[in-house]
Amino acid sequence: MNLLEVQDLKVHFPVQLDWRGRPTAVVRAVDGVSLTVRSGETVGLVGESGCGKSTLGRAIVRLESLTAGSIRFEGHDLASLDAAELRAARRGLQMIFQDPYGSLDPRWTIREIVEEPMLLHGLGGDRDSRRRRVTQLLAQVGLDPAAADRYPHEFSGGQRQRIGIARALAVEPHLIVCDEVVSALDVSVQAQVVNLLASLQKEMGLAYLFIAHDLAVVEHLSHRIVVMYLGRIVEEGTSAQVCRSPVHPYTRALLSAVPSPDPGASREARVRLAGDVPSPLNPPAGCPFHPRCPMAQARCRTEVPELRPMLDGRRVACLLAEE
Amino acid sequence: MPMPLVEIDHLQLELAVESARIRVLDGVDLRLEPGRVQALVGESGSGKSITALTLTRLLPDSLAHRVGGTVRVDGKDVFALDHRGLQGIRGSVVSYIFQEPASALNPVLRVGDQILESLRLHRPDEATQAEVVRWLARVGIPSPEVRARQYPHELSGGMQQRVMIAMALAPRPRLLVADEPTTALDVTIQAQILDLLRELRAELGMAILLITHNLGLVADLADEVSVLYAGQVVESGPVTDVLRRPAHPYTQALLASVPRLGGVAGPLNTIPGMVPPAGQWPPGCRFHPRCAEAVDACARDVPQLRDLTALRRARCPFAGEGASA
Repeated sequence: MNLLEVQDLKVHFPVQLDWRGRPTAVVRAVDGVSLTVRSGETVGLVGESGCGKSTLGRAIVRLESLTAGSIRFEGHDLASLDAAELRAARRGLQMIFQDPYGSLDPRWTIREIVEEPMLLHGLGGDRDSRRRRVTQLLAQVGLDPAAADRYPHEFSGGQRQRIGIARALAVEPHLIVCDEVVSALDVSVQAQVVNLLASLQKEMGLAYLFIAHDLAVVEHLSHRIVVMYLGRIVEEGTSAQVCRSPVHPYTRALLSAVPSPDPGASREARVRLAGDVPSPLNPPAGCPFHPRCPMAQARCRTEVPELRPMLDGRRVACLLAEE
Repeated sequence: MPMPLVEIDHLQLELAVESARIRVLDGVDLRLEPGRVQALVGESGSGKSITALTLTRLLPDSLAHRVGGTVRVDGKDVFALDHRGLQGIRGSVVSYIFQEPASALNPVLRVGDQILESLRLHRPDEATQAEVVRWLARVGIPSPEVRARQYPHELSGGMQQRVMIAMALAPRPRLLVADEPTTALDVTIQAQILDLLRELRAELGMAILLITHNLGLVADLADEVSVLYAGQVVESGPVTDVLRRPAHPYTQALLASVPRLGGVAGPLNTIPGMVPPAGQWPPGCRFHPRCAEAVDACARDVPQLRDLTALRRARCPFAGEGASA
């Protein structure tokens, strides 16, 4: 069953106000994205900075307002709910952020931080049962229960990320949006957090929308992968389809740009992209990728490719992709 | 055999923090030949950036105290040089690029003027606008005449890093220290910067000290690698050997914990615990509390960095010539 269904979602930001405060330009951060997340599944969301992946994640938990489109979570249309209804519907939907330093209030104890979502949602029963629940949550994420009475600054980056995970788990969510949650961590600690997320999923049947720029981590954790470029999905398929036999030229370039720690892995086979990602303020006409695409043809400059299904079940937005 | 460009022998360094002194380097050995690319890898707090800053004594003397060891750059003992002597190696022998180009560039100066300033200091005869434009073109910046008149905020992150590289290379240093040069950049831009560094190295014959936590970058660019843990070099040798057959248990565990594209499913290997911060290093072998192969003696005996072969060294009494990774 689809836990989350995003339909034709658009998030546009007005920028460059004129003297009367009216916008003269619009950044199309997310420009018509549809995706689904099933129960117990991890969907990876990848792309370079500015592609809209974080905005999409924030829009799904309604931290950004939507310009158009719908978000259905467990059958509720999140876009049409009022504040109280949204809070109730959102109990099953939590988010963990990139910066383990910035996302925990430095003046709160770990207990207060982990308890807060329970209090917000009226869960956890009385004080004693909430205490027990905090102890249990901390143990679940691999922290000493004695951590409950300490403050965020007493913990390392990896431990703070575990605290963030415990806080998200406090309301027994079904889907967690993870925005670059391991990017700021050292390699040896990153592996610990990646394994923790995988084992929590197994135990509790959690689904993740895992947003990251590190393709190797995303491939490792995800069942399906969505690749974004300039606010749109360019390719979507199973982890193996996207990482082992990518179809879209952008996906291929992105994968081949990742340097391998195995010496002798050929860098000559690399697809090199010229130039930078164009500004989402002024995206190119036609296929948004055509100015950097090594395979672009004349029609790529004028025709906008639709995201269309291939025979093997994946979806690709490229005029040249053959079904 | 040519004289090494950099020779660090058993460097020990302490930083003054409030009223205390904290040991941050405790046995760093490094040798870099002209024209080679040496990588220095390690997790946060291992001492890799401090080692790089020590090459030109960029840390103020009131803050950083050398406790032991020597640092020689181009044959000169860096700790014996006076201010003039240091200015003589800064820029013209050793030049730096850092992780965040946006914070290393002056936001109120046009990028062309910043390159010009670097030329004026180190190569006054070449300090002309034409030379600035030539450098911008050399690092792959399109329409360099226009870009030279722009301010840093008008450039993308990849472009800013190219400007930093132009500024660092304009004095034609013999060593470029690249401290996490691509960490803030996207992978497609990272690939462009790596290509650029490779080209410039071939063309100018400079050496590079690459400081990174990314083992992929090491495999991609470096000839030799030294692995740092808790202020000490724990393993060094040719990149291919160290990455294929790591000898030290830390290097082995680090390599095993990196997820790879197309890698096997299932849990990643992890190293229990975390990197001990400076000042809280355990006795004996610094890595023993996290080491899967530690024996009782590891908590007591301090291991020495010893030769495994003519080219490889490791700081572990049990390290052989390296197991297959």
